[in-house]
Amino acid sequence: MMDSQVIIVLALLLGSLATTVPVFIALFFAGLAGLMLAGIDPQIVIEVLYRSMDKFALIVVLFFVLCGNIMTSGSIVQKLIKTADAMVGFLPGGLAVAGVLACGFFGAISGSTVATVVAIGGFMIPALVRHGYDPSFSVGLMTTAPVLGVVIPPSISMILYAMISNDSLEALFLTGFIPGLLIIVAMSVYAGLFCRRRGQQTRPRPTVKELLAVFRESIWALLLPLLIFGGIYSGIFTANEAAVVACFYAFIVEIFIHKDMRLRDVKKVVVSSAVTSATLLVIVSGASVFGEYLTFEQIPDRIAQAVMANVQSPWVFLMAVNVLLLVVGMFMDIISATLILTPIFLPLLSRFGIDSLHFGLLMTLNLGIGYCTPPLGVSLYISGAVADRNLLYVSRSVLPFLFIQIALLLLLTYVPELVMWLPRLVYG
Amino acid sequence: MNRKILEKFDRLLGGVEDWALFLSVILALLVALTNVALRKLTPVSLYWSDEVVRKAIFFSAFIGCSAAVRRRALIRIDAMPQMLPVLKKPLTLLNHLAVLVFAGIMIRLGWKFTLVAFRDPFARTSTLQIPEWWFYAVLPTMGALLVVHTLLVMIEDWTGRRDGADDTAADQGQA
Repeated sequence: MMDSQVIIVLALLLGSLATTVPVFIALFFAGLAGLMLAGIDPQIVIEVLYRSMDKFALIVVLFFVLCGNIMTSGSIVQKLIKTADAMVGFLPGGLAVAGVLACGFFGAISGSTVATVVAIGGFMIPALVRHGYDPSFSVGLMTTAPVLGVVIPPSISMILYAMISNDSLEALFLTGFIPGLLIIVAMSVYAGLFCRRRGQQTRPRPTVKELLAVFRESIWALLLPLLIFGGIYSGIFTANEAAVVACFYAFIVEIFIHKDMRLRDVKKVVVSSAVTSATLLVIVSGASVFGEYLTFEQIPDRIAQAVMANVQSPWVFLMAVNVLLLVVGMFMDIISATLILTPIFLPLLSRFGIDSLHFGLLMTLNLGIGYCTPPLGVSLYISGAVADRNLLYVSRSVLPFLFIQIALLLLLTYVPELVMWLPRLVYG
Repeated sequence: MNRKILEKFDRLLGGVEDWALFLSVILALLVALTNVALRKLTPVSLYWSDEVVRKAIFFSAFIGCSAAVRRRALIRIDAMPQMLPVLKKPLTLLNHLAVLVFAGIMIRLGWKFTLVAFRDPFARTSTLQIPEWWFYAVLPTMGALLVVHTLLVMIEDWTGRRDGADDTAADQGQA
């Protein structure tokens, strides 16, 4: 009897999601229906919604979204791109490598893949094509490199994962640095080799004077990631406080130093950030209602028992999860997928001896790759719009880069030291 | 004539929502920042700052949700209309109906809960002792705003001013 109820609830959830019902409402309906079928007073959902939003930790979502929006409204993004270009633009495939590095810089301040596609890809794809780079290569590179937005902290999906798993957010953030660096190196090497084979001209190395001039111009933008991570890992701020301080800093820099944002723009940026973060936070509240049902029916434990009965090896488990998450990432945004799937996977991690910090990074990277996986990844559509190309063209363009990222994902899956070395070094 | 009145009402409501969101986020930012500065630089801290920030974010999340409906910015999975464009219009209608049902639940259950908290003299926040019903009332208020915004969006779709357009990709761009 109980199993048929579970099937009804899951069918309601999947049916609502498939028919474009907003994700948080789909989760709310499924959770409410489940609780009612189990004979629980529906009034409880109001209490759950209320408590789910009454958490101080959510401040970090709002303020990192605001920080990203301040940067894209002002000139910090252009300055980051200019700095990346000055640092690596003279290498083979220089401007392309600069694009990858700029995604890394932007990822160290923003927490989202698609925001990175819009902010960096929107600027870099036309710039690369204008400088004679192969259009397909340019589109593929700048559609896939923005995965760095979620891998390099701060990352909104990592924030929500840590909230559910009760991991230290500061430790989870540390898992992203080495994988982020590996992605930058692997994609840059491929870009360099591709451009050299194609006979792409290289540019002269900038003089020290030129380099210093660029750094001087960009110093305030470059200090922002330093402020965030320096503050967190020197123990001056918590991640929550770092988000607040970063917003204040970004406002001061854009309004009074760069003078690229007027005071009257502040309201527009704040309201747009409030709406964007609300679209994320209400998913947290919908997932809380659904989570209440999952907990009541002990569904995560039941799934864990079923999986344990059929899968004994952590290797096989991780491979199956990787495939599942890649597919889910194609259809579902990273926030919803993190909030829905994390409570289901968590009980399995301890049984397979997998560190939840390691898994958090794998989940984030995997869902990020799903964002640019044909035929439905959201980034494909955004890049297509930016480059004025159709879906088929963009889908073909991303393939070599997807192979690189999936190979790195497998490396990070089966060599956990690459992910866990830094958090263990800092937190023991 | 009717359209003009409707547009005026839409602008007015949007303006009130925007200011409410702006003030709540700025309040949260200033209070949190002041507390960080005080804690790091002096032995003093604002014992009530966490509560103010939590309530401001609570308010901005639910009022922001209704503003997101007006901007068609709620996150949803739009794989099906991409694969079967013919379903775009019926799915858009279904989407609106789902929001209306959700809004109805928020108004009914949220109102009941607000009344319960209103009648309970001990239902107050832990540090500032603000009556909790003020915050429970945000839920039925959001429900009412969702109804108004959804109807405005449906009228837009119906009159062809906007063809049930799908903003998902662009909206997720911010997420």
